[in-house]
Amino acid sequence: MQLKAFCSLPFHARTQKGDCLTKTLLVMRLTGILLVAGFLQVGAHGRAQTVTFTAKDMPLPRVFAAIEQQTGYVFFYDKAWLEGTRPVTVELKAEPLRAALEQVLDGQPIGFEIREGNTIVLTKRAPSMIVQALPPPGDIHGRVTDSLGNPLAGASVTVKGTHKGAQTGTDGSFELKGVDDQAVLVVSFTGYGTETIALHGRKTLFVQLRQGVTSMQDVVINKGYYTTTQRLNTGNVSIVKSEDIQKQPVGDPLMALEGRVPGLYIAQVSGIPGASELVRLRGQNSIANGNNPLYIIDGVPFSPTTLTTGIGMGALGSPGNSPLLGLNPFNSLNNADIESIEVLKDADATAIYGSRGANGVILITTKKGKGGKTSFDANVYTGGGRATRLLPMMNTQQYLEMRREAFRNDGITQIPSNNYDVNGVWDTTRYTDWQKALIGGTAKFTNAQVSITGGNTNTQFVLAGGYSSQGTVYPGEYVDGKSSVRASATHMSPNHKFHASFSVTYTNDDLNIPQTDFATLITLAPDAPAIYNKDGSLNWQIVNNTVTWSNPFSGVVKHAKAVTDDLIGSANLGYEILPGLQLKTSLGYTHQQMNQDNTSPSTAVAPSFQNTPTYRSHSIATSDVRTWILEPQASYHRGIGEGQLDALIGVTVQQSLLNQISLAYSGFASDALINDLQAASTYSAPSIGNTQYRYNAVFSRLSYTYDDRYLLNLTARRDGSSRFASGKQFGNFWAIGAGWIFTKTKWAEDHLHGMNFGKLRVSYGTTGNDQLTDYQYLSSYNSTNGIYQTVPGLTPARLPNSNFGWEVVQKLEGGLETGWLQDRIVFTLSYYRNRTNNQLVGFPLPSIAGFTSVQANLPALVQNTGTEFELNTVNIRTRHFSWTTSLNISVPRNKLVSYPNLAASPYAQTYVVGQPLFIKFNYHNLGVNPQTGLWIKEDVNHDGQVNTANDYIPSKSVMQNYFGGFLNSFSYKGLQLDIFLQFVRQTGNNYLNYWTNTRQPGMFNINVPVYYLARWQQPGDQTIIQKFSTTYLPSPSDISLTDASFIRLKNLALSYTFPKRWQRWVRTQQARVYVQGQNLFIISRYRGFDPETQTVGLPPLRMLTAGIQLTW
Amino acid sequence: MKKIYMGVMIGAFLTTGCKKLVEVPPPVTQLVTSSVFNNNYTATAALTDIYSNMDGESLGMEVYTGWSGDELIDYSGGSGSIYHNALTAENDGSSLQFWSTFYQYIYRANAVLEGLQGQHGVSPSVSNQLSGEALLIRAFWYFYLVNMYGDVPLVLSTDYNVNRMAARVTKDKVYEQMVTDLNRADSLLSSNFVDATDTATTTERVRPNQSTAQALLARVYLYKGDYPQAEAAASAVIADSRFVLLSDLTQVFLKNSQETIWALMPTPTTYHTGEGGFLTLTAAPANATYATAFSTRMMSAFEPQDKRRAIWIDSINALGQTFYYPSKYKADFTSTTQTEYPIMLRLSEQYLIRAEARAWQNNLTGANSDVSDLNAIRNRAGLSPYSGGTDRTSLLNAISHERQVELFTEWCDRWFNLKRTGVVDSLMTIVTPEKGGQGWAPYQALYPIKITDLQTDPNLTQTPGY
Repeated sequence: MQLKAFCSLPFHARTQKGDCLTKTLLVMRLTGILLVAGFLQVGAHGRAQTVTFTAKDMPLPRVFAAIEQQTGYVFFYDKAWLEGTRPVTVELKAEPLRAALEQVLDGQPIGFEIREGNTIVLTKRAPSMIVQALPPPGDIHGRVTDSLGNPLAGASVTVKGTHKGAQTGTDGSFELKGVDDQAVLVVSFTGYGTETIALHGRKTLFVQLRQGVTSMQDVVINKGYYTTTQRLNTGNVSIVKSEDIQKQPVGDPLMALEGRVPGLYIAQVSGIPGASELVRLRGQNSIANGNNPLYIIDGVPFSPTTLTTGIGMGALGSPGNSPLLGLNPFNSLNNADIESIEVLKDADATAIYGSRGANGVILITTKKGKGGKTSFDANVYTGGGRATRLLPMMNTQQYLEMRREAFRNDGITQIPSNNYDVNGVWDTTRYTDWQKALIGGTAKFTNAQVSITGGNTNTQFVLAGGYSSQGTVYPGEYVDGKSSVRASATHMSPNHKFHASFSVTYTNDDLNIPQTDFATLITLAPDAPAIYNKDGSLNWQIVNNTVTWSNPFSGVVKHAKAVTDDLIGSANLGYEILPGLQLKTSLGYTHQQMNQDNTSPSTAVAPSFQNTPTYRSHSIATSDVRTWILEPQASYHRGIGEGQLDALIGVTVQQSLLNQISLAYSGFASDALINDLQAASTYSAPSIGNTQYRYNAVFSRLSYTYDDRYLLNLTARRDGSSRFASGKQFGNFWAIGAGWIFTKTKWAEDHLHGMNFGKLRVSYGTTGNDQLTDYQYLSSYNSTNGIYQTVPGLTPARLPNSNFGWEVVQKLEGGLETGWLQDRIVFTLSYYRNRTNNQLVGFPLPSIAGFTSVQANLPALVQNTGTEFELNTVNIRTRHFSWTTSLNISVPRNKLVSYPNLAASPYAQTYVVGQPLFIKFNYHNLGVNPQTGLWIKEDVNHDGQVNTANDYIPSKSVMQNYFGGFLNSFSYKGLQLDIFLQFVRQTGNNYLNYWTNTRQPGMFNINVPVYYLARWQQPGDQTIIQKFSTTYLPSPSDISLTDASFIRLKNLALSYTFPKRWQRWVRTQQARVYVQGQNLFIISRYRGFDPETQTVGLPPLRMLTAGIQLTW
Repeated sequence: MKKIYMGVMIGAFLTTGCKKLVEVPPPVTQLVTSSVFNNNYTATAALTDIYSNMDGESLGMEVYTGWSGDELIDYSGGSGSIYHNALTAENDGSSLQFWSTFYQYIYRANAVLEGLQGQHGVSPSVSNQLSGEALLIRAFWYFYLVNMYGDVPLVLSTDYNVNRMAARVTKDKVYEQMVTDLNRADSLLSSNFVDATDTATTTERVRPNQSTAQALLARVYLYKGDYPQAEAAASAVIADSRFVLLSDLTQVFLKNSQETIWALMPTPTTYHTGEGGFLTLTAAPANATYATAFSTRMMSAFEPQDKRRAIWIDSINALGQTFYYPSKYKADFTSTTQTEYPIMLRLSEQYLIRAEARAWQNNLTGANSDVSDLNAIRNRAGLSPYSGGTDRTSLLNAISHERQVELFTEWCDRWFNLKRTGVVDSLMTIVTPEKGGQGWAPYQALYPIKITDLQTDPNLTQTPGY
């Protein structure tokens, strides 16, 4: 026997990415913010007993040579034994030598011994040894350890694309039976990264998970009907995790997404609890129809439409009363129940949602049980909110000067008798800061959540309950209280073939707000009378038997209440009938019920009317929507050659039923009887509604991943919706997505140093929009309140049109995703182009048609394009201190590309081809005429007349130029600090838009901002504000559109987790205290209340809370 | 487990694409149009609901046209532009809702006419009555459209594809259509006042009949200048013994009074008329919902002995001033029994129509002449017979004056007559500055229309001058 030694060369050859000790200083300039990031190296490996390399069909001698190079060990063997060995395909990442050798020699007729003196002696393997070392065919054995080789117990090992999986035992070992040779295993453990490993025929696996470093590419992406990883995703999906949601003391989960997701623009419309938000994912696709994304909670569609009925939700307005649309249905979700929110944007991600995916899909996933030891978690915080950024209004002196000047300018010497504010009836030395009086309070905020989670390998559960209450900044007793309970269980049969999950959430929201937003009353004259008389009663300032003002505090006895009950239940059942083939069904049911109660007692009116029963009113309303959905599916997974095939086919059957009724009662004999509806002398049914929506679809997906390098994903859906007339109900939608991981090429490995991941992806496809009111095709009559000669009336419901069909959005997207320095820097760039044609609109009609609109398709093309940029960096990471940064910027563009015969269309003075849909037509204001003191409107066509036909011209677009968020997170030992800035560059409506003719400065007893002090006073004055007058003057026209950009410190969260040894004393697993702030300050040159809401109404509140979280 | 799954899957796939799963029944709270016109009851509901909507319409029309002319004073302070004859397309075209409201009534009338065409389950006599009423409603509102806006689009169907492109047609053409519609209505309508069955007779004068069609025809012919026809139509109504010129002026505006040719029935039964509810002053007019009272010009138009001034007008003292307000309808919000209905057409107008028609035909004095009709009205008001000049011009002026004091705040009569008789420009040149306006221009006799209407109908033009 001749032994031959292969001696290694000295170790130097290839410097591994992870092994070089470098210190890098990167200077990046990001929108004017200088970001200095120092990169520190972590975890160096010596020339040790680990092996890292990748081989593909490599002959054994070359493999041995490589191992010798890395470890310094020398192989001894008989060359003849190599006959009959196979070339090796293996991917080793810092594997211990023994494990590496086991993998390399797995299935080879060769064994090994590691001996002293850095030698490895190969042996011809005896059959008996093979039996012991090798598991039976199809069974996989393995072990999961941390980077130090300590076993990880309870780590999850799953076979990708199936529900087969196992958890590791106390020694970190696991066993999986009947696994396909080419299957891909996903190994994960909480707090550690996730590894995705292709078996390539191997039967034994040793997996090391790195602590704390979750590779960006290994994040699991939920795409609704299927999941993938960031690495293999061919579409554009953003995730916001529960940690980021729960750091924000906000009323509903959508608010927590503000600024966090590229492409998703969210604007609050008010600071009143329960207010809705404007949500636009990648712009406005539809001219007139719903632009809401599709919301899905655990597989069940959730309607973003308010249940508020026609009686209105008081200060929150009523549906259709833009921008306040009534009570936001998301207000009844509990943020603490949410595990993650996924935002699906491009065609690849959304086409599988077909007719509902036009405006993107937002998937909300609730928390599931974690298994393991039963743990109990309690989290309580409390704090307060205040109105921020008040308007600088005129004081009494300035105000009176304005009023007197207006009369003077008009040559009126005798101030009319009903101008009490200025004619001496009121005490003109008074001053009330109405903002302080009406919105100057503190809104108390309390939130308490408890949960229990536990289970074992097969079954996990979570039980949770919570309560929160939010007050208002108004005078009066108003509060929004929310209680919720939740139960969720997941089960997998011991043979891993059957799995089931079930979850049910019940929420009760009890909202009580004023009937008017007190913030709209801040325009009261500053010399208005005292609020209360000396005896504590409301002061009506009665002069000569006439009530001279409407006391705003009369509103505090009026209430708009809504009790909302929300039930969301969902179940998923799955069974693997053949290896790789799984049948699955998801079922869901939601029931939202809202009971409204609006009461106005007669104490809200002046004493002279207080005995009039008609001033006592009480309106009630009930609305409820029930949705059920059934989605049977079959999925199939198998390895084909070097790749992985995934297929899915499924069916959706969905139905929604909406019922609404409202009743108005009045004429109570006394305020005390106002809740006894039988005591009303009159009642009427202002509205009743009943709609049914049915939806039915087949969907499918086919995906192939070749060598983890080339990705292809095809999705398709055929949809039918009851919102269309017979013959127009069905539509087909599809998408193709492709990706190329270019860092897996030799060229990239040789040239793209520092880049550990790079992917190019592209997708194209179609989605539809059916967000229109039900029954628009139907010719029908509604009943009315009128009774004529004993016959209750009927009135035409609408102009019917049975010819309208889908609105189709064609989405194109390209993206680049890169990870640098082992994901210390992750940079992604996306470009999209969405084109919507066949626009489905309430086509405006002249009133001579009897109705002012009819539902119809419009041959117009709207295009949204945009670039989205996302950068995540780990700036510093040491043992105790870390600093990470996330930045996202979205640059949306919107354009009306074509509109046949626009000039002759109803939109001739609404839209311009080539301009955004947000363009506003107005007169062009040339400034104040120095002689007359009046605004001059430009006579565009120089015909000597200024009129709408010729001089009403497109001016600016009210839209965002760009927006985004900038998050810096610091942690030092137990301390964690997050600072999140939101920035928006946009054009909007300023204060001039509010004080137009109907509130013309000087004309009425209405206060105005101090900006009006710059008005014209005498001939020769050069200013931008026209004179004060008591007659109608020109409107401000286009100067009410100005820059409304802002940077807001949206969120600041500071927490401290007590060290382990302290916690032992109180027997907690974790103890944490924190303070959180929302909307802390804003930087903006905008003149008006808040650049986000752009109106005179309650702005978003500045919240500050402190809390404690304990886990046992 | 496996079998159940296969069953569910196969079942689900088979049903997919099935139309049944995406077809929904009509909402239970709505009635499909074809079933509305499948029985007498719902067809009647579709028509009579138009009246429920029209109830109260007159109030705003009377106040606004009263402000435009010389009848009423605007004390509201805020909405001075109509009072000052200074309407602009930009500010006021949109705030005046008359145009869109009137066309809504016309749409609904057209919808009933279309629903009753062809196959339907409504009995022939009911169908005739309802069609006749729909035609009358259409003619009625076209009359108000042309008198407020001049030339207007003639919309005769519910087809929005046609209507959205409609242009204004000449006033004459619209009057022709009114005549055609009213003659057809006359042939279809019952001769009696009918109840909710559309056939049985009732004492409630709240549904149009042949006399209603004739009365409206008389007015339309007068405005058209077709005097023989106007006289004939008015005579037919006057000859009808159901209609009597009541000598007791307090009885005229009570519900179903013998002077009523057509009235509306307010709902609910505790409700009265908009005029009684809103024009009755309890304090200074500035604090009232419709902040208005009579002008001095109007008050000085009455002859001293005129009982109408005493009975149909009331006053209140406030802020050291006397304010006069219309009091033809007296029931206000505090009344609980329904005593008054808003009257659409009444007999005394027919006398004045006939008087004027006779004057134009030079039938000036004697029995069955202009003067005899005029005196019928004067006599009832407690005035001595007409004693002025007997030439046509003097008599026409006398009729015009009589209309002013007889038909004040009733359906825009004063304002329309100022325009019809051609005195509007000469009068308003004086009145507008008196009211505090900047001055009068002839185009202001008509109102502007909404800019959105111009934007949505490429063939529609703004009222000339605006």
